[in-house]
Parts: sequence; C-alpha cells; structure tokens
Amino acid sequence: MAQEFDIDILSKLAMLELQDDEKASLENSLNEILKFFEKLQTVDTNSVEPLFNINEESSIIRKDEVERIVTRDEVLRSAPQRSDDCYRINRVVGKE
Amino acid sequence: MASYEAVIGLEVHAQLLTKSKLFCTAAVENDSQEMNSHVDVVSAGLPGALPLLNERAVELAVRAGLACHCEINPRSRFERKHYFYADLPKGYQITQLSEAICKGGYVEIGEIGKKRRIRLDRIQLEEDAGQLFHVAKSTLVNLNRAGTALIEIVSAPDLRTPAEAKEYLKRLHSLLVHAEVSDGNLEAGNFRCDANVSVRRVGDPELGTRAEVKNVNSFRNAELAIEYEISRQIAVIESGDKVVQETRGWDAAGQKTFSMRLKEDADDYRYFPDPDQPLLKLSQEEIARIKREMPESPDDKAMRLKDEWGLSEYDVGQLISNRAVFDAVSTLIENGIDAPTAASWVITDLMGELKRRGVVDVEEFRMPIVTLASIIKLVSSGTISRSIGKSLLGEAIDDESFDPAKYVKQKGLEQISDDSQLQAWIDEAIQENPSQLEEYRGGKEKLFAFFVGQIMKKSSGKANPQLVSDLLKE
Amino acid sequence: MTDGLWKSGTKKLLSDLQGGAISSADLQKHCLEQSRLVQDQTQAFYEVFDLEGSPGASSSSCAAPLMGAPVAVKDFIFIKDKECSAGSAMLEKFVAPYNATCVARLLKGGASLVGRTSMDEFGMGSSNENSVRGPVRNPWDLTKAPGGSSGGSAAAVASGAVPFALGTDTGGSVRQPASFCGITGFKPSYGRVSRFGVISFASSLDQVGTFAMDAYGCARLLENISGEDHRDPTTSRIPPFAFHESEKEFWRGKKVAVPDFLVGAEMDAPVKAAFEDFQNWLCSNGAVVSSVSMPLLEYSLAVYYLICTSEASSNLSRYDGVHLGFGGEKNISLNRVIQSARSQGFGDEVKRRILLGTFALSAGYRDAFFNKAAKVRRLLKESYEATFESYDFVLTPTSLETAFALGDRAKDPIKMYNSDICTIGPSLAGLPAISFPVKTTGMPVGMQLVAPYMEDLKLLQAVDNFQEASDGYRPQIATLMNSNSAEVKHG
Repeated sequence: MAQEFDIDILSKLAMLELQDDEKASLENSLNEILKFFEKLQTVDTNSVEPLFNINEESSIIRKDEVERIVTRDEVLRSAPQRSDDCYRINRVVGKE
Repeated sequence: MASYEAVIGLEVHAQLLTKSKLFCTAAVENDSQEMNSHVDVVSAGLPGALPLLNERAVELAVRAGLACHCEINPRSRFERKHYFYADLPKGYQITQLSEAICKGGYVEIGEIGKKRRIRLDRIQLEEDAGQLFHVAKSTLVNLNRAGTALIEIVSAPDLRTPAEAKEYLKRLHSLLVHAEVSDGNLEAGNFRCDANVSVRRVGDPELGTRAEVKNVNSFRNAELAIEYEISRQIAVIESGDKVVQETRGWDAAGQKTFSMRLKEDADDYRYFPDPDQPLLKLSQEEIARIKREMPESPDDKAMRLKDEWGLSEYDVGQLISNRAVFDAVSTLIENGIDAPTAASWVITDLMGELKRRGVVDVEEFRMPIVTLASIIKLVSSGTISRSIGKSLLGEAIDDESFDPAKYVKQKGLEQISDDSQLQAWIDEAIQENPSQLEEYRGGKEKLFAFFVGQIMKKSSGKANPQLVSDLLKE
Repeated sequence: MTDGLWKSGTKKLLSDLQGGAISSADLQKHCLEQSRLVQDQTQAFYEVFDLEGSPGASSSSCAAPLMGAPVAVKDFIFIKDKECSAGSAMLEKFVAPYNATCVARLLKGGASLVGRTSMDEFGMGSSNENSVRGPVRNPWDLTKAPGGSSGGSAAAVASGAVPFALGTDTGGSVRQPASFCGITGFKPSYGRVSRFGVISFASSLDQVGTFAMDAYGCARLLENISGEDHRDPTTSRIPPFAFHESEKEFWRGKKVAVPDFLVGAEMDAPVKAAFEDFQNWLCSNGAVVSSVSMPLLEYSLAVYYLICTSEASSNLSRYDGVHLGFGGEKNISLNRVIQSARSQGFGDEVKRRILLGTFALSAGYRDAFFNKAAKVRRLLKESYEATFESYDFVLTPTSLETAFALGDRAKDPIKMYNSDICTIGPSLAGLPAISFPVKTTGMPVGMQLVAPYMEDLKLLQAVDNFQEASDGYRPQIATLMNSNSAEVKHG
C-alpha cells in the first residue's frame, strides 16, 4: 500500500519552494522510495518499544551554571541580515 | 433564550528561577537592556550545538508538580515541535508532549467548605522563544529570551466562570511563587496565560468549538478577556453562525478579543522525540530529595499557621494568598508581636488604610513594617490608645520617614490613664447626659458604649478605653 | 617522498616523528604541498590551509602523541574561524564560531590541520557527487567516484597527501569511501566521540570517524578525540579509548559471523573473490567463520532511510535564511525569505530527503513510518546483540561493488541508497565498524568487520593484527598521473 502524499503540503511544511519540473521529479522519486518502505509493514512489532537513542542511560544533566562559549559577535556574524546587535528581516505583519 | 455554560481550560507558562537557560549555558537575564547579549551556541541554534539539560530546571519542574499534587513521571521525554518563525532559531522548539515530567494533579479553588478541584492534565518543561521588535521597515530579532526554561501547566477544561479562572490563576501563581519555582512576575512576562474558551447549551454533553485567547498578562485581564469571549461566542451562536476555531488576542484598551489568525485544524508540528537527548529518568530518591528541599507549600503553611499562630481561617487565607501580607506578619512576629495581634493590624487596619486610599489589590504596604511594629508596641504598652494607633498608620503611609514615638511625644498623643482625670470626665459625661443615664439604668446596656464614646471625645481619643470602662462600671 | 613516508605504516611514521627521524615541520610542509597537488587532480579539498593558517602547525616543538602529524578535516566539523560549508550553498560563507570538541582535542594531542575536505551536501550521498562545488575524483581512477559522503577525506589520505583524516559516518560515510579508495576507515561506537561542533545530519546515527592508511593510524587518531564530553549529552560515560596492539595469535579461536543474505548475493566479481580470500585467511589463522541467519538486515535500508531523513528534515530546519547561512532574497516577507533561502541553498538530494523526512513525521503518518522504523530498529539492534552472544565479529564486504563511474548514479537515488546495504546495520545499532582494504586487482575492495557495542579496541586490534600479519597487505598509495587516464597501482 504505497501511501499517497501531497507534495504541495509537504513542500509548504518544509518551506521549500519547488519549480514544476522539480516537483514532478521529486514526486516520482518519493513515490518510488515509499514503495521501498512497504516491506516494513510486514514486520511484527507488537509490544516493541521504539528505539530513539542508542544511549538510553540518563542524560548527563548539567549544573545550573552560566558559561560563555562564544561572543555576541561570533553569534551574529552568521546572521544573513544584521542590524547592530540584532538579526534583521523585513517588517513582519500579523502574529506577534 | 437558552442558557449557556462556558467551558474554560487554561495553559500557563511560568519562567523558572534558573541562572542559565534550559538547554543552553547562557545566562537568564530578564532586565537586560541589550539585545542578544545572553545568547550562546545552543540558544542561537548554531549547528553542532547540542541541548544540555539544566538540572535546576528539572528540580523546579518537579517542585511545581509536587505543589500541584501531580504524579512525577519516573521517565519523561523531550520532543521537538517544528515550525518556522523568526523568533525560533532552530526551526523547532524543544518541549514535552505525551511523556511530560508531571502528570495529573489539581489546583483547589473556592471557599472553605466549597472547595473545588481544578484538574491538571500535565506540567511540561519547554524552552521559550525569542522576541521580535518592529522598527520602521524592519523587524529585529532578540534571542535573549530564547531557550529560557519554562514550565507549561495545562489544566483540564474544568473551569466554568471567569471568576473561577481568575481564582485558579491566583492560586497557581501563589503555589509557584511560594515554592520558589518562578518569580511570577507578570509585568516581565514570567507568568503568562492562554485561555481556551468554548460555550455550550446547558445540558449539552458535547463541547463547543473553542477559541484560544493568548497571552493575557494579568489576572484581571484574564477574567475580562474570558468574560468577553464567552459573551462573544454566545452572540455568534445566537445569531446562527458558528464559532470559529482560532487564536485571539486581548485588546486591553478596547476591552475586547480580536482574531489573530485561523488556528489550522492542527498545525502539523511533526512532533518526534529529540534524538539528541536520552530519556530523563528520575528516581524515587531524587524526587524525595526535591520534596525535602522545597519551601513549605501554602496549604502546609496554612495548617501550621492555624496551629502555631492560632489564627482564624480567614486570616490564614489572607496570609497564604498575599505574599506581602505574609511577609509583613512574619516581620511583626520577629519583632516580638504576637501573631493574632500582628494579623489583625495588617489585615484589618493596614489593608483598610490602603483601601481607603484607593488601592484595590494590595501587593505592597508602602510603609516600613518596623514602623508598624513600633506603633503596635506603643499601643500594647498602653502608651497610646488603639484608635490613636490607627490614625498613626495613615501618617506612616503618607510619610516615609515617619517616626511614631517622636510624633506621639510631639503631639502629646499619649493615652491618658490618670484615674482622677478620667473620673473627672466620667462625672462630666454623666452630668451632661441624664436621659441616657436613665435609659441605661433602665436596662439599655448598649448605652454603656455611648458613654465610653463621650469620654473618648472629651479626651480627643486619648483616654485609655479599658480604664474608662472599668471606672464607669463603678 | 610520500611513497616512502607511510608505505611502512602509520606506526613507523609516528615513531619516526617522535624519534626525530622525520621532522614534523617538514612533514607538515610536505603535506600541504601534496594536498595542493592532489587538489588539482581530485578536488578532494575545499581549502588547503597555508602554513601560517594551519591550526596546530608549528616549526617548534609539537605535542605528543601526534607530534604535529597533519590531519585533513571533513567540512562538516568546525574548526574555529575557518569556513565550514557542509558541501552546501546554504553554508557557502559560513565561518565556524567555535572548535568542535574532536578538533580541540586533536589540537591538544599535537595534530596539525591541513585543510577542509569536500563532502556530499549535509552528509547526504554515497559518491561525493552531491557537493555544491563539484564531485571528488577517486585517486585510483579519476573517472570514478571516491564514495561518500566523506569522499574528500578518503581521497586525501588515499592519494598520499595526508596520513590522517577525520570524516563523519551516518550510514557508511566513512567506511564506504575508505573501501572505494583502498584505505582504512573506522566508525566508532555511537557515543564514543563527541558530536559537539559537528554539523548534524541524523543525530542518532552520526559519529565522527577516522581515516588512515591502516587500523593502527585510525586507532591512534581515535585516542585523541574520544571520550565523554559534557557538551554532548549523547556521549557515553566510559573512559576514553586507549589503543594497544593485540597478541600475535589474536584470531585463533575467534568466531566470525557472515550474514546469510550475502550467500548468493549479487556482488562485483572482485568483491566476491576478495571476500572469499579474506574468509580463507581468517580460517587459516585459526578463526571460525560461519554463515548466520540475520533476517532483519533485510529491512535495514528502509529503517535507515526513514530515520535518517526524519532526523535530517528536523536538523535542517534551522537553515531558514534568518538566523544563519544563505539569506535568500531580501526585502520580502518572512515566509518568502525562508522559502527562497531554503530552495536556493539546498541541492536536490537534500530537498528529496527533507521532503521524505517531513512526510515520515507528518501527522497521520508518523506512526506507520517513523515510529514503525524505530521499532524495527530496536529489533535490529537486538538481533546483533543475539548474534554477538555466540560470535566475536560480523563480517561483510563494505560494499557489494567497487567504485562506480562518476555520473553513474546521479539519476537513480534508489540505486544509490541500495549501495549502503552492508554499512547501514551497524549504524542503526550504534556498533563500531571498520572498513579495511584487502588484496585485489583493479579498483580497491574493502572488507567490513563489526564488533559489539563499545568493543572498539577489540575491533581495531583485529584489523591491526591482520594488517601486520598478512603478507598480501601493505598500505597502498594511489599514484596520480597528470593526464586524465590514471594508472591504477596496487601491490
């Protein structure tokens, strides 16, 4: 049962703007790839816990202390648009 | 017209009292005037930076859960919630969902004897987002707040009225502040509330479509916003329309809610467990230790105060719900004043004076409590009468540098306890009011107070009322 | 000079450096020059540093144990104040703001850093053809792919430009290029090496791996980068790795499992031959080799591609045109900024995987895809554990084929994905795995050994023992010709 997906919805979620030819080609390869996953459905995973981390031991929890690794400048120098000490974008309307 | 019932659920975000952020070692600094001064690799979302869970944040979240009678999950998990926005550098927020750190629990509201438990769904740990500022044609992003540790306390939709909602918020706020989990500073945005409101006809088992009112920043506004929203939704339904599931904001100036954006049926946040973090495991020993180390809960405090201090339920309620009151009474007790006296002066006299001056929600007393202690001592030592003492309160509130002892001396306000002087006034009063005397002798007991009052008048309030009573009786 | 330099192995090189027989300053200079030459032929590097700009390079004393030995670093790992592109237009001009832990530790251990090597964009690819700056060429045959995604690092070592390189391995990205390029590539147990400062592709799979001419070199390099890091919560709390050689009779009595899906599997003839030869060598040295049923391996590709794309789609959300990286168009709405930055900054393979991952995590599908894959992953891990109860190692060829021609796979992502079949299992289970070259004619062939979790030492000892003992093996350097038709050299 190959799942049908909607490439427009997906590309919107992923914030990727696709050209028509890109869309077609991606849609094709994605459909092919999805068939390839069908196999998995046949594996019996009843009462199997999913594995999300190899290390399932407790987190190395950090003490509540302040530590500086980089300076403000080192953070902001990678900003695509910068205004003094801030990241900058065109004025946003709507959601606060 | 059919009668409607409101169904309200509240989501509160409270900033935790930690020095560093939830997953980032940058400092938490609410008052920073600078932008992006408290941002480091993790909270800037830089590649290669991995989330480093703050131990203190976990402890405080557990405290919050214990204070709200929650079940603390021995295993909980962090998840990533994905969406793109300028205040979210990683493109996802690290939060919790199905395996949150605290589960269930409740907050009690209502009068003694009529208490109601508002159930909690869960308490989860999560990071705050940054802030946006609009300047001319630009929007600027300040990530100082990004990554700060928050707990989100999600209630079940058990609330039914705006007043209940307000009380719930106050109670929850008090619990968190008492437990030293959060400073609860509403102005700074450290305690924020979103309300989910829907209405339905009374008797209808189905829930109505709900709207979310976001970010109401004070208890009063929460009450007003919910009240408005309920009326609005009823009006919509009555006019034949359907309530739209959406996010709304509160316009304090216009006193109404407004639509912010349509809440898509489910913004697909593509939650999945954060692969950078193993399970958070908490042992029974750790939970017990956190419980031992936490400050007394308001309820425990109430029990203790009733017993230890011999206070009335009402007084205890005031002490619990108002931190300033509690602190004032504690200070007075430390200064050698007994609890019931202290409570009475603060709750009745001091708060009364402030209310007379137009203060609605008393959160601070505007006078040094040690000054109050002096006043009380002047009264209890017999130096001045209680009514003089009361008037001194007013002076102290209006003048910071007020010195009661000096003032009393200056104005000659000392209580008059001289028997002969008092007897003289008593004789005068009796002479001047023969008919009342007759009536009193005839059985009107109440007039005793009248005579006491006369003597107080003659003495400009300075007569020692107890002595007056005693002498009068003779 | 190169041929002589490490023809006798990394052990000799390091002891020569330590003893002064080779001057580290000379070595550094030599490697920088060679790297530039190699660059012209193979495009293995994005940047070869100048001597002055080479971190750790010094004309005076160099710290032990690496004594100034030159190391090339995959452009996915942060070297402070150097550019780091991840092979992508998205990070074209990005400058690393801090040192990765593994780099800081390397420098502390005395290494000098030669340059940044080319890679498949964001680690996604098996041929190093997905680099935004063009493909890397296999030093053995410049018309062929070096493997990926750490193709640049592999080519740099294989061509003799540097004795050591760092790569990253998510589903085989160190091992497979090692096998295509005829060198040794090691992927440690998950949690062995810190990922702090390593750009994330798939968080639960990524590990920093080491390349060298031999296992000894991989091991010595690993010693200098491994160990718990308080900046990476996924590192394991075990003591840092320390290498020592095994006893001579290491292989006697060792039990080696060959998954039975390989019996009768289609593989290139040289791979098949080499595979058999190696098994024979093992047997003649006292090991017991058996075919073992591991049926779950059949699902490993599906599990891998669901999990890695899901995690990648999430990890790559931070590239949004606002906070870092390529900015897209300016003076437009926020949504347009984000879309244009991502659409122009990412290449096709990255987009494909992001979309796939987005789908696997989307509401309504997460259970059937991502969660299901995570459950099968646990079964896979358990199946390895069960196998290791009776066996010391699992053996497969690293790849069922030798290096394919550049351009061969470009239009066929599934074929490309399929080529990971042997390397993916250990990645999913977090196990240490190594690819090492074996005697062959034609393009290099690599074998892969897998050991139980955290038995990295035993694994490196195993291959080191083979490399010392076998007379058919000596580190090989690919000889590059000036013309396009390269002559292949093997010993």
